[in-house]
Amino acid sequence: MNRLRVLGEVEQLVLLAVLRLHEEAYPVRIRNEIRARAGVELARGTIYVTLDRLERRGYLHSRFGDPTPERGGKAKRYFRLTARARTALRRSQRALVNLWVETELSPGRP
Amino acid sequence: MSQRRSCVRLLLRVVRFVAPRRWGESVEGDLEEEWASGDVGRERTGRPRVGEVLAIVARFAWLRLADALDGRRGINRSSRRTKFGGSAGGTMLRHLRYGIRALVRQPAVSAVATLSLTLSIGAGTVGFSLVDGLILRPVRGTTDPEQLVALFSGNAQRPYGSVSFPDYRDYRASSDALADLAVFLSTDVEQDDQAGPERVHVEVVTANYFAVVGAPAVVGRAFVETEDRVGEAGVTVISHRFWKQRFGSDPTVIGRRIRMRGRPFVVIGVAPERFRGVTLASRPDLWVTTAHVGLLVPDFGAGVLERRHWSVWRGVGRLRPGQSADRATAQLRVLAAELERRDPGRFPRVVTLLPLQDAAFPPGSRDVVRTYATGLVMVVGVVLLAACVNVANLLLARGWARRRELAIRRALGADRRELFGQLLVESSIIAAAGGVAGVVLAVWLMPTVSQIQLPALVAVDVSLDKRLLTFALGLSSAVGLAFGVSPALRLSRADFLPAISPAPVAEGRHPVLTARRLFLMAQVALSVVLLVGAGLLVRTLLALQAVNPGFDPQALVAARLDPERSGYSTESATSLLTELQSHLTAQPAVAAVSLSSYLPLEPDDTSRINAFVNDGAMNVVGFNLVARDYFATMRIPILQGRTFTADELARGSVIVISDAMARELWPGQSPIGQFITTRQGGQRWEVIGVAADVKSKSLRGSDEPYMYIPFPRVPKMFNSSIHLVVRTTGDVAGSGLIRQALQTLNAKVPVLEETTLPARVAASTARERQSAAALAGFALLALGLALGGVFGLASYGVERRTPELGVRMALGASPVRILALVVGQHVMLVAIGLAVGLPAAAAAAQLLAGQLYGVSALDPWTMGGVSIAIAVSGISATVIPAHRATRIDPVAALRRE
Repeated sequence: MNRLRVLGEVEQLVLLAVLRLHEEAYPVRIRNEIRARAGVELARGTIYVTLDRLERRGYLHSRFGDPTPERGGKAKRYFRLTARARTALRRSQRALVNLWVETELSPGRP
Repeated sequence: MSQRRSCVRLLLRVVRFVAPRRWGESVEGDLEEEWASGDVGRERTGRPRVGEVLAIVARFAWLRLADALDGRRGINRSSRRTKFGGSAGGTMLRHLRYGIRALVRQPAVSAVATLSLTLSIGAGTVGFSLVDGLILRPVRGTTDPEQLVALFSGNAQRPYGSVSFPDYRDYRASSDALADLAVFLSTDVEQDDQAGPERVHVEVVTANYFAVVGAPAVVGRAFVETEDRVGEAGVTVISHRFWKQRFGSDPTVIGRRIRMRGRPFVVIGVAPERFRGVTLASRPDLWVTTAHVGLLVPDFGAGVLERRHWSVWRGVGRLRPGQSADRATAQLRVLAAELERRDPGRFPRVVTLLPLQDAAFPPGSRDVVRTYATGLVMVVGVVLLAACVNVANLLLARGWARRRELAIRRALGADRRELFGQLLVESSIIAAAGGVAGVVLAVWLMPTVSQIQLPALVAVDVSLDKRLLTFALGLSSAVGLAFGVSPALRLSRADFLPAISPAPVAEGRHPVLTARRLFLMAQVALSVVLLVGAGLLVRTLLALQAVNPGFDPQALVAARLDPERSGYSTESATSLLTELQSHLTAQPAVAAVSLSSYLPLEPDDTSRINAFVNDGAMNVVGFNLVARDYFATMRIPILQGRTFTADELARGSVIVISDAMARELWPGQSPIGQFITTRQGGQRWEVIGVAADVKSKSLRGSDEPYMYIPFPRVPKMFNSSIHLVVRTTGDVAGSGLIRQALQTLNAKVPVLEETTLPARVAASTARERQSAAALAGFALLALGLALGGVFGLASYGVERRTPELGVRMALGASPVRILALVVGQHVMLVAIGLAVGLPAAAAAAQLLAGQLYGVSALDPWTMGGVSIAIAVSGISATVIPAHRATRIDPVAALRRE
């Protein structure tokens, strides 16, 4: 079994977006969600390779959805989190929160 | 709008191709969706732009490359732990280690492949540097060279001439497309030094010259505006090479003096190393300002700065940012028309600005140089191709030899991508090694290459720089990839079963082998083309060397003197020269001495005068002023009549003419006693003798009419320099005698140029010699590569057919039969290559036709000779493997499989 890895920032953004979008997470919407909620503009290429990497590492499952005419008849590729991803996300969040808490940059502090 | 759309469409196809299979078409779909939504104007992410799609393509390409080298993480991949973990870097290292081991295990093949690449990349780099120095960037060492332009002023027929100084002043003042304009001219001057006078090449420039070209001094400074004024003390900027040669790169050179024409010039700066002037024809040693033009160029005098119609200056200017040469030219032409109106010259002025890199050639030579460079590029390209083909062959053969090993690895579950990566890395190692060694070779060859005498007296600056390096390494990488990818793909394929089975592959139905055979035939054909070319050039050279120059050059030495330049008057110069002649004649080591204004084999000889015959017909003839004993000294036979008497030399109105002149002006009759005049109604000259024709310009030239005028009856014509020609008896060095004579007579006259006539004759074929040597070198290289290919193919063939040959021998075939079998099969390939190559060579030879002499482009002897050489060498290359075939032990061979 591999050592427990720390998630990178971009990986977290993508995983969280996938989490939020439930069953509707495909690259176009993932990117939009990240922009809308986090105010971060990620390049499309970054999204794709991150999704690819996360899937290969076992954090995401993918499936193909229905083609639509707007897409020239091409299917969408939907992603969802695996249990491993959830564990990793929680761990990351805990790690960050524990470091953030009671620092001068914490939200709420002047 | 729709253009963008179709562009994006194309890119989407590329995306589909590049995206890994697991993504399917979804990426394309995503992009289409975003594109479509842009149409409706919904508030979305906005249309993907071309650049963004390219970025996606790039990232996917990178992903796939990493995949290929890494191997997919999945069930197939064995989780090998390495020191560096499972990262892409660790895999690379593993491939490298393994690859180097594999290459070392087959040293012969690896060495030959690397050597082939080294030689051709080395040749390619040198070739590129020549082309770079000649065509791409002939002018170096300047800042922002794209902004530099050359100024030409001429007339409608000959627009690329020089400009006059007053015109230059006006152009400089008025053009606002030009940031600044400078002019220059070059001349050779004697420089007085302790070591004796020596000629230096000087460029007289306006004070803003270095600022305009953007070549700031590396030591000291360049000129300031005031140093342009007449009357200022002499200052000079020296070239880097001059600094190195004369002052040993001494940093305290500033303030030292150089004397020219009796005046001291203080060194104020050293030009940058790479800056060697703005034309290819002139490599100045020193620069001085226009203040001293009267002193250093007495032929012109200081008036050259004032005369509106003395157009002798070359111009170089810098465009303002954003301006174009055309715009600036248009502006200047308006001004030129105005100047023409105010002060018309003989022809209406036409002024032109050209980008400096295009204009760096001496007028008229650009096409010659371009042809030369193109020829060079083609030859080098051909050789490079041959080497790459060789390397491809070798890599394929190696891969084939390892097919069993590879097949087993695949069967045991190795990822195809892993194997592919492995093989690619191996061929890259060879390519990299070949590339680096090739660069080293090129650097080693550079000094020799710099000495090459190019046509049109152009000196090329050949040196290694970043661009060259990038070119060489890029070339070797391209080769490594190009010829590694295909074999790697092929060999890592899934159809491995036949490879492991013991049955030998059926003869002839093998795609790899067929490819190799085709490659080999192509290589042989290429070698034939190059060899025929080289053979023709060699024959040209031999033919030229056999041409009778018209005189006997052995033991002849000539020194050029110009006493008037050193301050003598015409009369005292004449008497000095005559005294020199008498003095030397008296020396026991001297067989004969004479004087002449020109020497034979002078390619730049443009001296012509008009000769009018009785009926008024004008002929343009060459001429030479010659003193007594000229014909005897040069050993030029007199065919009719006689030479000058002592009296005639001083006072007569007689000439000796060449045979060609006799034939042309007085066909069918004896010219003795006939008269010509050199001007309508001018002085008459009687013909007293006819001399055999002498090659005045080059060995190739046809004989032209020529007349010999007695010296000192006419002490000079057009210029005052004269050659002292001395024939010595035996081995005494004539030049020593000449200098001694000068010293004895207390003549403060420097020897401007000295040469031995044998060297001069040899120099007249220098270009042919170099071309022949170069082409022969390439041809032999190509042949070597082809023969290496034959050897490799033959060895490989024997190896592959060992079981079959074993059977044959077991069944009673004699060694001779086996030999014939192997040799025959491969010689057949050589023969086909020859058959293809000969017509190709005949076609290519037409390109050379202009250079040939004494031999036709379709010369059968050359073709025959090359055919025989190829046949013999082809057979020899198969001998060793064939011999090995005869030593096969049938029993062992059968048992092996």
